[in-house]
Amino acid sequence: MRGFGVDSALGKFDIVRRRDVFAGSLALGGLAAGRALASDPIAAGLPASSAGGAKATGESERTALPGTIPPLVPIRAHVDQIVDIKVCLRPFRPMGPRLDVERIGDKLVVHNYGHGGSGWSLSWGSAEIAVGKALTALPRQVAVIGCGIVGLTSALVAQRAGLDVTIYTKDMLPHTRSVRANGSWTPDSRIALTTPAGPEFGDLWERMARYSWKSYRDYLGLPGNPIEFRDSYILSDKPFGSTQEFASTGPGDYASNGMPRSASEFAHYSDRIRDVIPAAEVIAAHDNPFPVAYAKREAVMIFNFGGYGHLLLSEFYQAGGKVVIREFHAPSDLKGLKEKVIINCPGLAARDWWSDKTLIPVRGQTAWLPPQPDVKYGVRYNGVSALSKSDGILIQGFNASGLGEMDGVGNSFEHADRMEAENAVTTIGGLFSRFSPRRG
Amino acid sequence: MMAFNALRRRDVWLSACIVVGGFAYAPQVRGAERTGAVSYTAEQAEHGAALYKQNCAVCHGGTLDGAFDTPSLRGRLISNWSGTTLDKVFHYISKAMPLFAPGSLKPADNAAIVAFILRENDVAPGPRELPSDEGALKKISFPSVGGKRAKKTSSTSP
Ligand SMILES: Cc1cc2nc3c(=O)[nH]c(=O)nc-3n(C[C@H](O)[C@H](O)[C@H](O)COP(=O)(O)OP(=O)(O)OC[C@H]3O[C@@H](n4cnc5c(N)ncnc54)[C@H](O)[C@@H]3O)c2cc1C
Repeated sequence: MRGFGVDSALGKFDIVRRRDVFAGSLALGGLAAGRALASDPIAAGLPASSAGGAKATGESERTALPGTIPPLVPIRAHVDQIVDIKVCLRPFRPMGPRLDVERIGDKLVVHNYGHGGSGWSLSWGSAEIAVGKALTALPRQVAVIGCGIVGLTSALVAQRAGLDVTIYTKDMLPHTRSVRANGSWTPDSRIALTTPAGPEFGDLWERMARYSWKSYRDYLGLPGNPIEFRDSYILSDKPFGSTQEFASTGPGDYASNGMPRSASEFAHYSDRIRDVIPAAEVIAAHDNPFPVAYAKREAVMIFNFGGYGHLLLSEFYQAGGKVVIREFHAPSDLKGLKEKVIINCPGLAARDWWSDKTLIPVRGQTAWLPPQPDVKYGVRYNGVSALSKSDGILIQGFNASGLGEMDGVGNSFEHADRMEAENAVTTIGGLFSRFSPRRG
Repeated sequence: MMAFNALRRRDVWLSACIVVGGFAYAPQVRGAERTGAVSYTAEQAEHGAALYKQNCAVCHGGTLDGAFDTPSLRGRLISNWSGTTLDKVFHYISKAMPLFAPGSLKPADNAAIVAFILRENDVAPGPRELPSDEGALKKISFPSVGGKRAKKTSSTSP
C-alpha cells in the first residue's frame, strides 16, 4: 500500500532510517535509483507492502534529485473552512470481495461486492472478472445492481463487451458510499485478512490491480482531470525507521471471534505490482521545504469523484445504457427483472439485501475544505492526510485510534464526528502554520 | 446532475397523486381488500415516536426528512416500498437498523417504529395493533396511496 495510503493505516509503514538511506545512496552513487526489494513483512504488524519503501533492514531508498521540489503553495487548513464532512462504511469481507456466481430461479447472479478500502482502485479489474463470468451465459443484455464505483465500472465493462446494460439502483453515484471515500490508489487497503483469504486470493488481487491500473491510464490527461497523479509528501518528526506497534482490540483473531483483532491480520499484496508503481524517494534535508526533520515523496494516482463520476456516467448513457431507480428488498425481487443475467454490486448493502453476514463495516471519515487549484500535492503527517483534489482539499485522520487498519472495524456509526474532523484539520493547519514557503 | 436521466419508476404516479386532488397521503389502503388492512394503534405509534427519537432521528432527522446521505422516511419511503407487503419493511428495519447497531431492537419495538412511520405518512390509526411477526405482516400490503386511480388520471392530464 502506498501513496496517500490514507485509506489504510499505512502512513507509518515507511520504514526508512533516513541517515542509512542517505549513506546508502551515496555509497551506491548513480545506482541508488534501484528500487528497494521487499524482504519479509516487517515486525509489529506492519504490512509487507511498503513497495519501494526501504526497510529498516538497511535497504536503501533513492534520494530525490535536487531541484525537483517545486514551489509549494501552503494548504489553508483551518477549522472555519470546513465545507463538508463525509462518513462512509467500507464493505469489508475477510475473505476478499465476493465474485462468485449464484443461480436464483432462472437468473444467473454474478456477485461483485465487498472491496473494503480498495473499491475505487480495484473497480475495473473486478468488473472485468465479473463480466467475464456473466458472459459465459451468453446473454445479450445484463442487469447491474448498484451505481457505486463498482456497479458503474461493471456496467461499462459489460457495454464494452457488447451487451445491453440496465443499471438498477437505489441511488445514483453522488449518493453512494463510493463518493464518501478518499479516492486514491490504495488497492490493498482492507481488502482481505491474510488467513481467510488464503494464498490464491493474492493472484486474483494481482489480476484485478494490474487490470485497473492499466484501465486508469486511459483517463489521465483529460479535461477536468478525472484521474491524475499528485505528489504526496510523507512527513515525520521522527526518523522513518521508528516502527509503530498496533494494539490488539481483544484476545484471539478472526478465526476465533469472527472479527479481526489486530492490524497484523490484514492482507497486503502491493509488493506484487511494485514493478509498475512509482516508488517513494527520500527528500534530502537541504531540499526539504517542510517544517519537519524527515520527508519523502511519492507520485500517487488519485480519482476526482466529480469529474470522473460524470464522465463514466455520460459514457454509459452514450453507449445506450439505461438507469432504473429501484430498491430491492430480497433476492426473490429479481424475478421481476427482464434480464436473465445480473451483476450484483450493492457494496455493504449486500449485508441487508443479500443477507451476507460476512461483510464487516469499517467506518471512515473525510473533511473537505474549499478547492485550492494552486495546491498540486498532498501531505501525510502524524496520522492525518491532506490531499488537494479538484473538488476540494480532503483531510482524513486515518489512524486516530492508533489501531492501524483496525481503526473503525465493526463501527457502523455513519454519522459525522465533528471533533474528529477538527482534530485532523488542526494537525494539518499546525503543520502549515510552521511552513515558510522557501521557493514559493 | 447525474440523476436527471434516470427513470424514476414511481415518481410519475407519485407526483400524479399530488396533482390529483392533493390526497396523495390520504389513508387509502389499496391492498386492504386483497389482504389484511393496515392497522396500528395510536399508543403504538406514540411508543414508536419515542423509539424513533432515540434510535433513528440521529440520521433520519427529527422530522423524518433524512439528509443528503440518509433516505427520507416520507414520500421516497412510499415509493421504495409500495407494492410490497409489510413484512418486507419490517424485516429490513429489524436486521439493518439502526445502522450503528443493526438488529438491536425487539420485534415489538420495530413494529412500533413501523407504526410511527405509517402515522407520519398519514396512514390513520385503527383499532388493532400492528403485529410484530413476519407471518402476520406478510398478509398486509404496504399502504399505497391512491395508486391505480391516480395513475390513470395522470395519463389523461397534461
Ligand atoms: C473513508 C473511506 C475512504 C476510502 N478511500 C478509498 C480510496 O482512497 N481508494 C479506494 O480504492 N477505495 C477507497 N475506499 C473504499 C471504496 O469507497 C469502496 O470500496 C467502494 O466505494 C465500494 O463501492 P461499491 O460500488 O461496491 O459500493 P457503494 O458505493 O456502496 O454502491 C452500492 C450501490 O448499490 C446500490 N444499492 C445498495 N443496495 C441496494 C438495493 N437494495 N437495491 C438497489 N440498489 C442498491 C446503492 O444505491 C449504490 O448505488 C474508501 C472507503 C471509505 C469509507
